[in-house]
Amino acid sequence: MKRDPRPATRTEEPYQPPAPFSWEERAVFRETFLYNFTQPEAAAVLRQVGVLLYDMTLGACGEWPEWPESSTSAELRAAVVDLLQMQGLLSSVWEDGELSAVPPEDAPLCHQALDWSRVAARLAREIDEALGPILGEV
Amino acid sequence: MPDLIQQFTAPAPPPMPPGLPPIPPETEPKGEPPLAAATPPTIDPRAWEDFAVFRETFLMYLTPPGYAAALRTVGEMLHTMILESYNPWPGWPESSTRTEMRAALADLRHLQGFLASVGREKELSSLDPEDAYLSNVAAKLSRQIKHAADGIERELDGAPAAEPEGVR
Repeated sequence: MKRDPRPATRTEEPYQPPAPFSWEERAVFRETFLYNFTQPEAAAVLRQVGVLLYDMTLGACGEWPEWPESSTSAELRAAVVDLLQMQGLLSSVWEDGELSAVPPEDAPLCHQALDWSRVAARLAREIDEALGPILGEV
Repeated sequence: MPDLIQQFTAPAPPPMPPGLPPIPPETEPKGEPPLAAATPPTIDPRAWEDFAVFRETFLMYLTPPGYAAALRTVGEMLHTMILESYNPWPGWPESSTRTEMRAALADLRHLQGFLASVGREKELSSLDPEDAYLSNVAAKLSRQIKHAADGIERELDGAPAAEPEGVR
């Protein structure tokens, strides 16, 4: 997150946020990673690789060890981790606004990022409290 | 062009150096307890860059011990490489803050969809009461994530923002 904050002046097709596909079509790579790939089509190719990896994983995971809890609990525990990661990223956008010179039009976004990071933290906490500890762990 | 050799015998493998133990034949482990599944890590949000590449909602399927950890390490390596090598790549069409927020928005939409899917599990399959409760929680939180994501979208589009839900 330490790139030149100035907008680029060029005409190539840059990183494009994904179309509103189903979540399973972008199940593997975080968009907050893919946006670094500014070469045309690079992020789209990685999303395709993600679909392939996800399908292969679903094909193979039947042979792998069972979760120590139900699939619903395991899914929500994973969502907690992703929410905490999102909390960290949004806090970092806010920090960038505080510590470095962002364009004036971005200052409100940086300021709001702190609020959204708190929302992510609150949702993570709410799920975590509903889940309790993993069976067998204290 | 040399003549083709009609009969070819593969060379014998080199003799094993003395002192090395023989390679044991591959056998199914007997009487060993089943492998314990790897579970998602507990992360400190300040260390978000250590988990920058793969979604945990994907890594959760990699239950054999070591698999998910290996991909997290690959992710850390990829993220470091990206930050070192993006210089010759095209710049973004808007500021880094706006691009980061667009990416965060896409990730929130992913989580919104994921949780909505967990929220539908209670309708599509028979869950025990505890999981049915968790499924309800997921459906509710999916709506709250939608609310937050809509707020970011409005802000990026330049429309007046509503107060984010639940901010203290």
